[in-house]
Amino acid sequence: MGFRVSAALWRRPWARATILLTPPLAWFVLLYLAALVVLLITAFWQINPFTTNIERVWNLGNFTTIFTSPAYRGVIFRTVGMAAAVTVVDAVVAFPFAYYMARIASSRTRTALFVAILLPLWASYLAKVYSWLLIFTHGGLLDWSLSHLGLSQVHLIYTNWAVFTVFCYIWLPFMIIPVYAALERIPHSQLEASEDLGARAWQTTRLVMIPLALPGIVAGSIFTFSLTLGDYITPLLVGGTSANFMGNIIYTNIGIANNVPFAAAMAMVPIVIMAAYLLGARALGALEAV
Amino acid sequence: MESRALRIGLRIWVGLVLAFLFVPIALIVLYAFNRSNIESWPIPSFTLHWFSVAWHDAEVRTAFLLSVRVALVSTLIALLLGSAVAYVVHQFRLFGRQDQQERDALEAEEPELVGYAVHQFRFFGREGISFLLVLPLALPGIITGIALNSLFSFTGI
Repeated sequence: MGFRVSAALWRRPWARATILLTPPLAWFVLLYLAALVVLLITAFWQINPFTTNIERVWNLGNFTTIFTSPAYRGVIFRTVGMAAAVTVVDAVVAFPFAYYMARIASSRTRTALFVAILLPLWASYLAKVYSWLLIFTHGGLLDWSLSHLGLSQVHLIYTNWAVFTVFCYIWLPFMIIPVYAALERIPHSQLEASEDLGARAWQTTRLVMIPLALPGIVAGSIFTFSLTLGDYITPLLVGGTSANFMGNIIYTNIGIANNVPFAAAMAMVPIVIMAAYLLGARALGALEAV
Repeated sequence: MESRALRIGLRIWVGLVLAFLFVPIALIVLYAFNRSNIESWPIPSFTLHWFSVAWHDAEVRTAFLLSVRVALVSTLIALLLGSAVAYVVHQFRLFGRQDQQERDALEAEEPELVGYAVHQFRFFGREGISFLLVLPLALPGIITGIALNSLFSFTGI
């Protein structure tokens, strides 16, 4: 019986595919997409200011508040600016590293470096943020190192610079891996052709490697950009009282203010930004590189 | 070929990035043995005291067991659903990573496979599928969290 079923399935690849694809697709549509739809609907509701119960009255109030209030607009600009800065710095830090991995390192070194990139991803997010708190804190490792170098102390803790450093640190592996994958795929013959045509190493990098690695860089930027866009824990732990990012607004409106419709409306902002970003990335062919 | 100076420069860069990646992790390990509970550097003296405190803390234990349970269940679900999609994608090459030549060769061998793949290709759109698969990765975790929160309270689960 079991044999007959498997034989029948073997002859009909489409049946096999349907059976295999139904559970993941159902999970994806019924849970993930349905949740996003409910979120979109909730964004047009409001809460009763006295009872804080959700009132299912259609209105644009939440969106009007977000886009007319200078404070919320400031939060959106600060968050997008932070995400863009983190993405650019991570790309600049990652490219030479990935270049070394793909083009210069021996295969053993390459494997070791690959493991070294993956290892920090297995360490707890919170432990890593907390570690930076220990580095930046008054009398921490940074102060100690600077005073031993004879430099004046900088107080980074509870500033946006601390938030920026931690974001760059935590998301860096997400940038290195796709850039490495893109550089690795460039055929050696293309680089040799560039050399034969008289290009210097820098010209080959700028005119051949960076354009060919661009889908990888964009794929990595999807992660660094989006992860920064929604994070609220790093600003809470190492940011100051003014470290208000979109994630923090969403978080406080779910938790403390219990205003889920407003949080849902605020959540639409990163969703729209990421949708536009993904469409742009798709045009560059970066979704294939993820 | 890269010049000698460039190789040395790149090697230094790789060293700096590795230090950047691993100093914080090494630091958190060291602080676990810190005798003092003042967070300053250098650590005055070392102790195993906090391991014993953590081991005997009932709250830590329940939290640890809960984390392990959630991790096992989510790994199991992701493994089953993810492997199914990966298998189908591999078999049918929905994502068109292969070039035309390879596709022609495959069509000659297994026309039904390619027929299905092309049908699927037109039905969903290759890019549509990759777009959907990337979406959960590209949307920040807090959005997934609040969306599921709304779904559960909406449906009363």
